[in-house]
Amino acid sequence: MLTILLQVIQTVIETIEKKYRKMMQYVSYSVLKDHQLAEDAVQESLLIIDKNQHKLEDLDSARAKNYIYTVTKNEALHMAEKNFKNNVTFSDPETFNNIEGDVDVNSFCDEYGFSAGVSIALNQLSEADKDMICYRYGGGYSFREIARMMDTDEAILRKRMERARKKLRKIIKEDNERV
Amino acid sequence: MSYNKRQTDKLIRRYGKALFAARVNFVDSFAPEKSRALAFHNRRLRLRRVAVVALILILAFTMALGVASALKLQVFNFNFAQKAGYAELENRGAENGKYFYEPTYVPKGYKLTEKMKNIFVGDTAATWTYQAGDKAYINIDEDKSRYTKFGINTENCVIEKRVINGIEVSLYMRTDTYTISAYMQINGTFVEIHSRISKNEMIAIIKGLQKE
Repeated sequence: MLTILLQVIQTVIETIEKKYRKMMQYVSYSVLKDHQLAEDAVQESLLIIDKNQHKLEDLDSARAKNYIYTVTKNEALHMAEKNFKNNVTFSDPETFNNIEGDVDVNSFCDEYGFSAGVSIALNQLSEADKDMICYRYGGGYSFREIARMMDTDEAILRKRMERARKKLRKIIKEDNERV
Repeated sequence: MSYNKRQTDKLIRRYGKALFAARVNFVDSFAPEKSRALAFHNRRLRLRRVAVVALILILAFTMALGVASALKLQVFNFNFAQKAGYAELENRGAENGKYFYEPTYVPKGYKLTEKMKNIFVGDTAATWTYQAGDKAYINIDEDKSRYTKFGINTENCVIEKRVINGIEVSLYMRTDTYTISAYMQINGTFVEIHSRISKNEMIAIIKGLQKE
């Protein structure tokens, strides 16, 4: 029984590797700009995904894709931060604000008629805030589910969401008053 | 709910959806079907690049041949360097020639007066001299060494390239002295024929050359 279970787990992770490894390597490299570090980040991400396999209902679902992308990106960012602390310098730290696969905020604001101030505010959102908004309003997860996925507390998430909301509301209010 | 709050909620919802869609689209762009399409596209792009490079090389080679031809340069069997008034010719066979090529035809009246072989160190050279009267000579010089190099006077010369019996031949016809010289390479052996005979007679001699 245990052998069968282990085999199933093994198959899932192999499938993830087969399907998503290229994308994971690409995302990691776009953040780290180092093949060795990128490979380490992919391995670490696979370990995390392996531990949280129960969160992936269907490997082909949009939610699973979003989760694998987010874990990989965050692991790469985490590794980049660690290497910054170890005095490893990266040629273009701005890269972290423009990771491939993320929304082009300026185009997004133009499309929906939001002001430049909103663009700036959205650009200033931390990666964790973006992930939270993405999970909540894109993936439709509950705060409890997001807290589990992001390894944090539900209350912290709610507070963080409220802060992001307040900040954006302030900018929108200023914009509306100006008009 | 105030207008600003509704606006903010709308913004966050739209942004969340846009983020989610962007991430999923990005992941999908690595799907094997899309990768295959991308690989196909890249292969086509690579092929197109190779075709462009090949075209450039062909054009460059054609132009080089054109220039070589304009400068009266032979580019296949010999290296020619065209200088003012003379050409430098260098045999560039891949290896030494194995045989000498003896003439089986000479114009009427010419008789063999001298035949020398292995006249230089390395035993690579041979010469035939035919004579008709006191002043009419046909000299045939051959060298099996692949390092043959010498100069040809090209002043007042009409130069012609011909393929005779599958051999590329360079004919140098002097308009002042009415002499004619033929240069060729036959299986690594360099052959020079020099005389004051007609072009047709020279061609007949070349056609009659036979492996010794």
